[in-house]
Amino acid sequence: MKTSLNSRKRKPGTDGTLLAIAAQIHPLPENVVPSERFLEQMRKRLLDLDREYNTGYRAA
Amino acid sequence: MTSLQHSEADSMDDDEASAAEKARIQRDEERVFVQQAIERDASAFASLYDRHVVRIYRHIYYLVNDAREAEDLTAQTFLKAWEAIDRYKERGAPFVAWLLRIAHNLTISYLRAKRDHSLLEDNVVIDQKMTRNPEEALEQATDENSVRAAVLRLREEQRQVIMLRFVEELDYREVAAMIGKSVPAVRVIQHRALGNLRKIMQG
Repeated sequence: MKTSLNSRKRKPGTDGTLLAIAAQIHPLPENVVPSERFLEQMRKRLLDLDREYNTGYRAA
Repeated sequence: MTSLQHSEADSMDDDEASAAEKARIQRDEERVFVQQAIERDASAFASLYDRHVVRIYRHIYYLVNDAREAEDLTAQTFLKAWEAIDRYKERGAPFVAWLLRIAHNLTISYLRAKRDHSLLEDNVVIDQKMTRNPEEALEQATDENSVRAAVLRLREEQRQVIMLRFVEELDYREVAAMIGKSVPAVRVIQHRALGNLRKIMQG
């Protein structure tokens, strides 16, 4: 059976140009974070869910 | 090996062992919080929120590129997670992978709805900025956003794998567990996605 170098399957991820593309995909800068106000309000809201859930559960 | 080299190698081994031990303790602690949250303990759920909220926000921000929208979608993600947490099953991926999946799906639905809404309004709203869909808007953004714009143009499965691998820096096994595919399948998706990114970026 004839084989050639071109017919060999390349293992995914070994293409140099693709690795160069991958190297350009970065996480966001460290300073991209939610506001303190949002963090606090959301935390309070989540803690209230306990009460809401238990009230709803008992009502049901 | 000299005694100094021995000592440096020992020190690195100690550091690695200490980091691994710390990671194990955190995983165990998280399992307890998850179990308590499943039993409807909101303070345990708030502890999970404290640990992961910034990561979830940043994932969403990468997709929407807007702080206000990212906060709204982050809030929705945690409310949805609270509703659904009794259906959570650990399948080889960390808890944050489950949260990321909720966040990603919510955000993609939001972007689709926003795009459809923009198309509907296209004939009546003159403001170009309002009628442009978010993917197009990002396409036309500055050079520093060009890679992100290209990622947003990928098909959903490829976009998700690229974001989880390179933005969230999850390993193949974690991504596979998260999207319900095998590790070799994730490698193939990633390979195709990078090929498509190359085509998009080369115009």
